[in-house]
Amino acid sequence: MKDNKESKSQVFHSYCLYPKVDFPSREDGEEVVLILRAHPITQIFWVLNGFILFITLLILNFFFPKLFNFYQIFFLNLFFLGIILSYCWFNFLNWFFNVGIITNKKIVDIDFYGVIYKEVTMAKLNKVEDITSKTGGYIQSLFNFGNVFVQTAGTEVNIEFINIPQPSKVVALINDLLGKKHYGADN
Amino acid sequence: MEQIINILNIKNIIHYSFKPLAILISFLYVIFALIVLKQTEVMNKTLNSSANIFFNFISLLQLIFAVIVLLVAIFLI
Repeated sequence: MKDNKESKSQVFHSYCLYPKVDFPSREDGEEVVLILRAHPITQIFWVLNGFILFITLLILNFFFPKLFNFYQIFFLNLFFLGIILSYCWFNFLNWFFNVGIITNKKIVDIDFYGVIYKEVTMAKLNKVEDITSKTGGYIQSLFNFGNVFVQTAGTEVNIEFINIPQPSKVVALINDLLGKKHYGADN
Repeated sequence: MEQIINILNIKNIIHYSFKPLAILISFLYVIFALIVLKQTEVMNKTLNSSANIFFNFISLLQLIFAVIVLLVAIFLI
């Protein structure tokens, strides 16, 4: 099979092949093959929430003059607009940096919870025993996204990629990398 | 008696409590913006890409905005 190592991204950067990125535990000669993020459709809730909050602020502006003076209204608008934008920005950051990384040597899962919690899970490719993809429901089938579970041998932790696009393609790619690893075709 | 009723008037309550509350929540917002800026730096170190400068810039803008909101609460209200 011919390797096409051109960097390209699909589904709004949630499925990036050969991206130009780096991460701290990357070894010499290790190549990032795929970066995965949650499918953008799973982020629709905070986008809608932001929009609804913005509309609510606009509606509240009709009632503000009855209770507050001009400077107080100015402050309230500035503050709530800031809160809405911060809410959207924070959710975007959480989406962008919660990634699954597949390299030619290992699989890495980086998760950020809330504002300050970070979890990095790593598994060497030669420790991978089983890969399962799971897609269910109308939305997942319609937009082609789902979960991928990577089971590892021994004490190594299992890795889960949740709501990622094209899960079957990801399984095929990991299997391909495993094949190369086992039969030594990656040199 | 009239003075007490006047003080308990909803508009007066808003008038007297608005500024301290505004300063308090603006201050909390500045702290939140600072934490997000710090977290953005941590995230950038975890996944290094060409977009990192942009993310830092936006988080910094958020902090500047939060400081402006705090200044408005202190000096303009």
